[in-house]
Amino acid sequence: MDAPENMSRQDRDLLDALHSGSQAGFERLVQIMHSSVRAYLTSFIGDVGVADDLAQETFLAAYRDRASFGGRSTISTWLLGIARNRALGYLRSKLRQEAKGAAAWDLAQTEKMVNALTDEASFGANHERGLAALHNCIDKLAPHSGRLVAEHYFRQRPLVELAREAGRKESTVRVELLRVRTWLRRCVETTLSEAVQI
Amino acid sequence: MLAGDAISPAEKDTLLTQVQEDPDAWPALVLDQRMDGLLRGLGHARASEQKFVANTVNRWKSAQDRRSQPRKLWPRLALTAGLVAAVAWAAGHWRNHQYSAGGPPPIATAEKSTPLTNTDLPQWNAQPQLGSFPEDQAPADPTGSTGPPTTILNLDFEDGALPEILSTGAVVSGPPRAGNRFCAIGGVSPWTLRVNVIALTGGPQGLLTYDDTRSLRFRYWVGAETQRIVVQAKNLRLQQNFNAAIAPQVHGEWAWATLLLSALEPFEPRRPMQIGDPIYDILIMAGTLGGDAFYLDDIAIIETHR
Repeated sequence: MDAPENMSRQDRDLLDALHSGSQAGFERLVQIMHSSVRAYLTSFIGDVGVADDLAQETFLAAYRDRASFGGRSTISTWLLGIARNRALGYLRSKLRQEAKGAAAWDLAQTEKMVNALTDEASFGANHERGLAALHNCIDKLAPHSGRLVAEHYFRQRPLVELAREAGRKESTVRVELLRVRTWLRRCVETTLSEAVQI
Repeated sequence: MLAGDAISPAEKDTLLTQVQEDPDAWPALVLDQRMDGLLRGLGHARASEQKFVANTVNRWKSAQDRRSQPRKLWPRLALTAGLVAAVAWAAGHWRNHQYSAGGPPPIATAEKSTPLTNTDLPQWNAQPQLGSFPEDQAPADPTGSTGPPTTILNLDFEDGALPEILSTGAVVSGPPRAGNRFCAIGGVSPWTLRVNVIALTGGPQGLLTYDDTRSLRFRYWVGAETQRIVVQAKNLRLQQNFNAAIAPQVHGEWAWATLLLSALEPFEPRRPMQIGDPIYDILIMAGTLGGDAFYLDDIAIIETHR
């Protein structure tokens, strides 16, 4: 398949990597897309270990079935579509298991995530744009909030440790982080809606 | 969703209480969980990029190697058949052993496989043991005893100071009431995002111990929109929350409410509290953040002697 003229450089790289059929091509595909696919899966699955496993399966399935990529979407959208189907399969299986006796909260939560994933119409391109917007929004956070996000999410330090360091209650830091996430969500939504208007 | 760190079973119950009270909270909870997952996923991906890429490439290489090897079906079929036979024999032996040992037959789980929906969640309605009374009618002892009661805990907030055990909520002057200066107002808790909460929390040994002769009593003031006041207590031994709801009799005025601790009910599993069980905290929830305010006063635990 020839690359269209208006294709971005990343998409060209992905297309080359996908069609090379070599180990180097596969590695390149994983390097370019792993962060987006893993973040997408963790946003529905919650557990980073399970999300990583599903991400690996996504890349293996994509490379095995690369001939089925018809070029009707970008490769990243196509990959995220495979990831979405894997996530749905996992969550539905989890739902069946949890129906046999898991805590009512876990069951209700899994059901909501299955619904969210099933109803999601804009899983592909919007996820990529959303991630770009999220990075910009994180840069706009107030210094204190930005530090909290960096320490907890990017340096993976537990909240109890951050609270102890700041001489505050863990519950206070939890609420603060909740507010930061709410702000980030609204910032991403605003950025995406402004992009649509343009 | 506050899902970044581990959530205990009791905290899950609290979240469930919240969505039970306010189903509109679900979309916000789901979106927050997704944002939390997105951030954790990005952080995790950044921290483990090399390892993930190497592991994925190794899996790909293994798959390629397997594909390139000629398939030998007969040994695999024989092995699979042997395994199936062994499992079937072991299952039959286990069942027979269970029966012959006089134990109950295996529990059938097929009946429990219906997925839970919101409408399946237990509805807490006002129970006969629960009461809500106008301000001029002091509540009778809900146990029916006429003996002199003992007050185990009493918070009247009249010194204007925040009691140490009031872990969520604040002390304010509140709606006026003859002879009263201060009361408690509901606040935000990390586990109840949209509901006003007043929480009493004890130390590691708990706030008090459970007894079916004990009851919770308080004065409340709720706004016009508030349909229920939910009381939740965490049982330390069972690591489970127990809940009850009171329908307010009056709105926009002070009134009394009382309930027996034995009226508190758990979600699944429905294990009963036992006398002497430590109760870690008591949460009293009503109204919504940014909506109806919620005030409490004269919160007391009363013990009636048998």
